[in-house]
Amino acid sequence: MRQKPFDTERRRQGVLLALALLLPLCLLLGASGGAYPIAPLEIPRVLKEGLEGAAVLLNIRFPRVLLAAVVGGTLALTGAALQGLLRTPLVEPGLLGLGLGAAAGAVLWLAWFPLVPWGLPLAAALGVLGVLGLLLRLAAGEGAPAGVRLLLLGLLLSPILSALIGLVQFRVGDPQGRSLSFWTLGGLSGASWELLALTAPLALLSALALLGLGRALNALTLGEEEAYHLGVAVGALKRWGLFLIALGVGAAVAAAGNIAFVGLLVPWLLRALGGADHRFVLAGAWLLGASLTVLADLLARTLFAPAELPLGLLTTLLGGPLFLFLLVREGWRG
Amino acid sequence: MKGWLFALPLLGLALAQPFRVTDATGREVEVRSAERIVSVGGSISEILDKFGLTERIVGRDTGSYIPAALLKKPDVGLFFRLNAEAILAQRPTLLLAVSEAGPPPVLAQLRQAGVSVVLVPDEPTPEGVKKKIRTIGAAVGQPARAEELVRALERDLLALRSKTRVRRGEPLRVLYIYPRDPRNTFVCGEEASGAGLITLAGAQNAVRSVQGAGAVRGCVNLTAEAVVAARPDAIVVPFFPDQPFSFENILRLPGVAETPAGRNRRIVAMDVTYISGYGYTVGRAALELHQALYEKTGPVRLNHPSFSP
Amino acid sequence: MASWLEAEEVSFWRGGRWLLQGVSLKLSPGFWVLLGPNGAGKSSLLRLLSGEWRASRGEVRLEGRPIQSYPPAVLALKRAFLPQQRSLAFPYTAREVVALGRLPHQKGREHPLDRERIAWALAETGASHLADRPYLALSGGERTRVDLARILAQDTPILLLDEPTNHLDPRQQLEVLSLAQRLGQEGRLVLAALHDLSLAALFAQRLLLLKEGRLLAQGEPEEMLEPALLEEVYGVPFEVVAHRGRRLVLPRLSRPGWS
Repeated sequence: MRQKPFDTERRRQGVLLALALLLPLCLLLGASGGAYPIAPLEIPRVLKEGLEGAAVLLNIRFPRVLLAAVVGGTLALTGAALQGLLRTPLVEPGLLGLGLGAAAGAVLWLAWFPLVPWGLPLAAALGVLGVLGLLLRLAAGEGAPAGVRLLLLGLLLSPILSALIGLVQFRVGDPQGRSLSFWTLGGLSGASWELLALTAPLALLSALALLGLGRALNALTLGEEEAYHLGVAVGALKRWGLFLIALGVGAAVAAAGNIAFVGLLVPWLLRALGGADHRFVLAGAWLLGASLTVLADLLARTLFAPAELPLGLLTTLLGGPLFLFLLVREGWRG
Repeated sequence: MKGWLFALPLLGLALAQPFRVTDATGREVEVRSAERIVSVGGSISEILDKFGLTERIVGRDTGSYIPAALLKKPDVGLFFRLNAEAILAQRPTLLLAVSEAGPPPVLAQLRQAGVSVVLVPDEPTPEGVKKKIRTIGAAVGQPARAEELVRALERDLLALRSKTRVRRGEPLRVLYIYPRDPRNTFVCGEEASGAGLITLAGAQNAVRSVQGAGAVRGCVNLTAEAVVAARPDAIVVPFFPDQPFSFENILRLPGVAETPAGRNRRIVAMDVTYISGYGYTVGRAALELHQALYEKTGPVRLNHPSFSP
Repeated sequence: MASWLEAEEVSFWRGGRWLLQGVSLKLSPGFWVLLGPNGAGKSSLLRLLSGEWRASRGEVRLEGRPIQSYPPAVLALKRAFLPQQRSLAFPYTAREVVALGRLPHQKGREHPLDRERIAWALAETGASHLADRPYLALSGGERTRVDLARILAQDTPILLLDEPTNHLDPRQQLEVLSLAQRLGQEGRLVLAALHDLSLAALFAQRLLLLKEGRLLAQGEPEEMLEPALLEEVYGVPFEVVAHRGRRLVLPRLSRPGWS
């Protein structure tokens, strides 16, 4: 009987260790596959001799694989944190319209400051905050379970935001010519070291800070009043948490557009693997989200090579049906 | 009685119409009057201009900007997304449109409203251009002028062939990029009209040699690595005179910087109507492209001979 | 010395009416029971005393200082609160729920003392055998015991319990109340809102009678369980019978059925 808590603890440590080992493996796999043929074992030689392949590896594949990891880890982690803060496993940044909020922020920024790229992730984060504020205001009150209400509102907000993005692009035009479909079905085709440098600091900062919220989010699971009685300053926690989520989602979406369902399914998988303790789920979500996104991106750029699929299309095709299945199986709790 | 006699020449004119013309769909169209024309397709508009009929054009598609005088005429939409009301508002008697123009229900509405709709054959080959010129000539009752224009085209093609025939060795590898999204390199295979000019100009389409499950038909987003694997010596892009264009943006597209073309900044930007319109200028366009590819270095910008922005 | 927890002329306005009016009380260690009909303001008073709600008028003081002046983290080391309605958004095991009670004491990782305290709390509430079951799969009574264990694991000098005997069978009710009594005797301050007058009489050291937001009376069970006073509070006639030296409270049925 007394052994049990140690077992759970050990199991979680085991899962985290396995995920920590999986990530470099996925990065390696991602770095060795692509439309430009380079055998995995040839990589060191190609790099040393500085052939054309070296340019492909250094300037195209490496930044892309790393960006996939950063974006995927951020989306999964912000998804898990959002679920914890809103106390429902049914939400994720994409489904709530946060991703489109980020896109709207980014599009507006590009319309007015086309030549200031560093503002893009921040404008996107502001867009997320705007949508979050609207959602929480609209979702307040009694009635259907919070998760279902939020989901419904998010689904209603999404077409409005898409239309807004479309309108801005129609009226002002995007000087960089990004299409609406880039924002709705995102991808990593634009990856470069510059984009990585623009994205990673904000994304990693938000991730590190979010990892520290695990214990407080555990308390929030009992309800906001209960969390308060357990010593959590709930108002401050929610403000800080949502701010960090906005920062992460903003950075990820500004870099890669919307890559749906990563933030929903990864936390769900982790709970199935090692229980719902947020300290475990948050850390695991980053690792697993990064790994899975690197693999999904590998598929996106090799499945129909030399053409490339938008990654968001792939994740939606894989993740959407799985989500529906879970929803039906687990029931509409939330 | 005298007045009646006086009207005879006028009657003759009236009898000369209607013209009968077989359009791209094989249907015989009766053109009762070519007085008010809506021209859909940049290459059609430039041919009408060559016939001296710009005055009669009462509406045009968004892509018809040559001659510049057309920019002052009502725009009835993109050629594949025409607006029936905007067209009918100009009270046209004749709609001359490229064969892909549409949507088909709009064309049907126009026919019902009594407009003669002539879909002009639009094959992206020199022979196709001749057919295009002759069809337009027939529809507006200018067959002689059409033949004149065809002869001029043949002279241009002859000049082109004299250049390309003497060229020895492996043809240059050229990638045709249609610039859309800055994060994707959107590349076209030979079937696409703009890319077709590359072959006509004596070079080869580099995307042909890139293998994979998604062989390039039409245009696709090519992964950055496939762009490098295609090893283009030069890159050809269309530019839109009404939109800002910069060579730097092309060099920044995924994969481009790592290609020989990117390293040497070998980019030829060509007016979109000039490169993909397949109008009467197709011979000159191919010749100019040939010279830009084989005889020049660095970035080259080719304007349409009768339009400089 | 200031009393542990006191309310001075506390009134509370919400939803267009006064839920509490001019309540003053001073609580010291022991087992206190709050009685009154539904809607008398029992839950509101508990939430005000916990610091969760702020009094519209008057003041709640903890150890002589206004309770609002404590940051939540400090407050959580001083008082624990068992609410009437409880929810859980994610599938935790019962042990994980109890472990949340240790949150105020933890800075980083779990300490061996935390595990001891959790095991102790589970044992005290008779919930040890539930520890590894998913909380959401437990029955109402089982959940109540697990939640009580969480409150115990929080290990605070003050415990505020809103109807801790909900969903419990008679034996479990007795166990919970004797636990509360023992905690009171050991020097903690336990304040519980209850419905069952006889049980309250059996275990409480002091009773507080609440009616329509006013504190009607407080004192030893002996003084409080007077038929006249109870009738005033509940609006129903009562009989108090002495049985083997203990007081039993029964409603007096003048008519059969509802009056």
